[in-house]
Amino acid sequence: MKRPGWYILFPGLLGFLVLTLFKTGLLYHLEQYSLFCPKGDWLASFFAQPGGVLALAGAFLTQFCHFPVLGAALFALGLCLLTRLVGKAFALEGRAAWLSVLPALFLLLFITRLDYSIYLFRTYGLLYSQLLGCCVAAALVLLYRKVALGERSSPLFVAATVLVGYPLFGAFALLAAFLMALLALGEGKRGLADLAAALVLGAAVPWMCGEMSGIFPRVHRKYVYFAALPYFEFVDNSICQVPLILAALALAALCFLRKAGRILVPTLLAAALLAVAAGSNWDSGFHTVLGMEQAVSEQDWDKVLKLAKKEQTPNRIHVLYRNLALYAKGRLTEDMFRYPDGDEPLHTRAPFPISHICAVPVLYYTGMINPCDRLAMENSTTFGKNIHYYKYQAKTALVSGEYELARKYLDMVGANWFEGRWVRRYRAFLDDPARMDADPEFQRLRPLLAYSWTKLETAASLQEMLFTHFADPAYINEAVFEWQAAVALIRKDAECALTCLFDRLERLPEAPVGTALAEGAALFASESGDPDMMRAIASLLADRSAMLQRFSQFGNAVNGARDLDSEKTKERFFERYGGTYWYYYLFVDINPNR
Amino acid sequence: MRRFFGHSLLLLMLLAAACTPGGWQDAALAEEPPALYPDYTDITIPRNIAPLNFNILTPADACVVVLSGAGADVVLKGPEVRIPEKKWRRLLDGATELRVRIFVRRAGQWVALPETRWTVAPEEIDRYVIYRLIEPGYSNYGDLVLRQRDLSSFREKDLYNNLLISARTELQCINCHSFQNYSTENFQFHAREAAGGTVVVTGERGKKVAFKTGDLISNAVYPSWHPSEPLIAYSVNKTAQTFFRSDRQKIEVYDSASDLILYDVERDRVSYIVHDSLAYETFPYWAADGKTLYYASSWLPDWGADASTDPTLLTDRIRYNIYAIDFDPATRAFGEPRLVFDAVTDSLSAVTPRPSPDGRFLLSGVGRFGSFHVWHESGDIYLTDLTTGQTRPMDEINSDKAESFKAWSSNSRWIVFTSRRDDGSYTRLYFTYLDADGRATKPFLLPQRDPEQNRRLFKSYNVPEFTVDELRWDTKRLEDIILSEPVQVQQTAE
Repeated sequence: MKRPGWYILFPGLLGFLVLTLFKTGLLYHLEQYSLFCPKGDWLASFFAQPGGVLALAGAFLTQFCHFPVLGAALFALGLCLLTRLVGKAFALEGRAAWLSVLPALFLLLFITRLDYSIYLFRTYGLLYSQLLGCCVAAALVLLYRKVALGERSSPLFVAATVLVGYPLFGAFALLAAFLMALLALGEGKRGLADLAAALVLGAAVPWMCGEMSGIFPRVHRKYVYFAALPYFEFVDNSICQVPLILAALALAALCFLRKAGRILVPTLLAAALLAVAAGSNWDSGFHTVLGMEQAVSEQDWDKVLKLAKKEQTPNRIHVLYRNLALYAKGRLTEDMFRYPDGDEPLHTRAPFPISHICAVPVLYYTGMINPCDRLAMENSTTFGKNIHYYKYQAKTALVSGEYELARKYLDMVGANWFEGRWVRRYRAFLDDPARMDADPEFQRLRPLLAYSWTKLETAASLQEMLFTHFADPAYINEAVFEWQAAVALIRKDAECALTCLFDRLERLPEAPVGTALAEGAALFASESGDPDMMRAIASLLADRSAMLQRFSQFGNAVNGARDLDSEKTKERFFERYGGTYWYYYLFVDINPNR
Repeated sequence: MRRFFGHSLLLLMLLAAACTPGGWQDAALAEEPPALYPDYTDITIPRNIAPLNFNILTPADACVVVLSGAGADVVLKGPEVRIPEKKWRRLLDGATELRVRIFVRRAGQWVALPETRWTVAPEEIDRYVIYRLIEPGYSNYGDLVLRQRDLSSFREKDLYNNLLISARTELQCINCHSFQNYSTENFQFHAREAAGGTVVVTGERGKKVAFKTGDLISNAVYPSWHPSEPLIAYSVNKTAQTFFRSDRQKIEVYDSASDLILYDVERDRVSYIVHDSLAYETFPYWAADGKTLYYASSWLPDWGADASTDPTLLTDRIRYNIYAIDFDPATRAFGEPRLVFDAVTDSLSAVTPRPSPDGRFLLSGVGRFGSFHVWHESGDIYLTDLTTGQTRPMDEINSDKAESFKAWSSNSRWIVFTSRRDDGSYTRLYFTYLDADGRATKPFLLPQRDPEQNRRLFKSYNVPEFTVDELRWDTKRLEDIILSEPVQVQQTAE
């Protein structure tokens, strides 16, 4: 008996390395945006659609991505298994055996190619379900080779594959049947009969499932041939589906490549590796969003700030998460412009509002409890229920004193294997709500809940919601003041910023003024040209003479600059005044509707 | 031989257990009442209801439940109590009451919790209830289904679900199902957005109807089939919503205009019933004799000094009364509106009138203001005795959370209503028995095969309607209708 070659390990090792080195944030995200509940009615819901078994298995395995290394190891094992099954199913030997890694490489590419579309996923377990589907297809082809290829039972086997396999594995059963037919054709054994049987049944079974309400009463006619595939997930971004097409084509091609030559094998391998390298998503902004998202969910604010510092061309999600972290550290109006700022567009072909990505945590940590709950409900209604949204809904219910509702969400989150620690932390508040008063998370949040019974219109974007919410400059408390001032500075709203400042000064004359706000006040006072205002600000900032002196230099530099719009001027100003509010005011423009 | 050995060992163990002193049969009586989920303690039930499965929440090392009624006692193990359907039927067969005795073992000692009783009402409940399952969301919708539940078992059947049509970017909403006279022979529901229109089914025929025509302010909204004529009364509404930032009440859904129209199903014609530009008329509902139409109406609020303020901030000033208007089925002429329930005088707002089929009572949904009480914690159900004109809150069934949609069974003895009492957010179906004097019994939650189902379900039950027969249309046929071209209705003079 021949031992399998080490090429079987190749896609697994490559996959493990890529996923653990570059995609841990992605794996953690996929776990948080998934859900698993080992209860009858929840499990049964997967069988309402053809191919639901794969989604169910995928959802189960995705739980392990809570520890990304474990999730990556499982995925790597799956890649090795697929390679082994493909090698055996298509009887690839010698040099051609290396070609059995091709489908695994393309499935790896499917994962590494993913971009912001992951926020639109509606199907559970996609990380593993496509890999499992290919494994099932290869296993069925292997079984066919062993028991039916070239036999009289061959058409019967193909028919059984479709009839039994389609309800369980959806399109992957159709793929298996098609591959069986191609294999028979490739090996010149009763190929046409098998092909005809596969095509007829492959067309008829899904069609029947779509037409007869008694079989799958919830299946969409238009998508019956794509059951178990991610046909809903990549709106305007179908390039993400290309790796799956390549994997299917590779499987089909392998039916005819048993005798692949010395040149073809390395060429195909190199092309596949090149596709993985060039086709993967290496966008640092995307990975920073994922890293920040995980850090925010763990309330690891130092990590959020560390990531914010690294991202030199931030998008608004980076900035919003960074501001949450600064608020949590009590340094929002002190440090908010010392970090890179900007309005970099999201690098994806599927343009969608950033509220799909970060609204829920941003609204929660800024004290907009009901909008947070609403967005969590809206997003989970549209894109599917998951741990991430249930966690925030549990927390908003706790804050609102809706303890039975919080228990409902916590029970669901707790049904997932690795969420026990998180659930225990918040379940403790159900037994003793008074403990929330001593918890830093709720201590930070409570002062922000100062807008009871105020209505809020549906705003076009997350940033507009924040701007509207904190637009009123009247002093309420220090926590609200921090956000009011921060929002006024972001909006470059001089009147609001100065009103905030003076209103607070009346109540708390001795309270310190954060650096960013002080810089803003100096600039706005100077811009107003009002001598009284300038005197008042100068008196307020008397202990910041160095800053005022630097502002004076900045003013001179602006007056002396020939072309403020040129990139060169911008760079020069960045060298000298990067990290100040003045630089932000002059050179950073944001789109509040993004 | 091995099997025989195994059986004899089991027999010995059972004998030993039976001989052990202090079994549950010898339990001492405890005083603490049993804690059950759902709370099925001391309720009145219809004879034809599905088994009332429940969980025992009282802390215990072991539980035994003994159900006594007609026939032999049924002994079951807890804490999850699932009653076999055949045994349940035998228990109920001819019984006027079921006794539920619960025994719990703690620290090796068995105690009997105080007995609870399930009174079996003389009248049955309509066998089916049809509702919509939807997330308690706001603007978006995903997976929606109109579903029929057989109340005598756990069987469910979809009337229609929106996954059949919803595409990648174009989702479909379905709502406002209505059946003629408790039968699934004739019914209607709306589809919105993708392939939108109103599906109207009469017997074996179905069509999709487009209502927006003439000067109607919207498509048809809240429906009520005339009990005998091919007529449907609708409201047309300009509806909007606004959100609270941090209050238990999360949303206010309100109308800025509404009227009532009558749709002739056979001629595809609509005409106004009530069309007062100074009032918001909505939620029409026919009396069982077809000679009276009930509805809710609010006068346009007097904004006074706040006239220039954003009206969305003043929705708490909109309050509705319940009115009735006579109808002559022969001439299809309406009379003059008359006030039935004056809620506004008491600073309340009454909507969604539901007259009992025997014509004796009227149910209304009442809140402090507004019309969409499913989102109001103050939402309660009120009962009007139409013979005396007296109205009272049904304190025996209301809770401190929102009660909203409700329907009568065809024999006027059972009411199904929705309530958010479980967790404040997800509405559930509750049933109550109403005696001839209008006194209701403690409501009970829709029974499920798995008693925890209602806790795990993250959808709300919406607009329950009783029917006496099973659905005969399947989802795919309805899908074909929805995909067909709509029939455009024409507006006729009032």
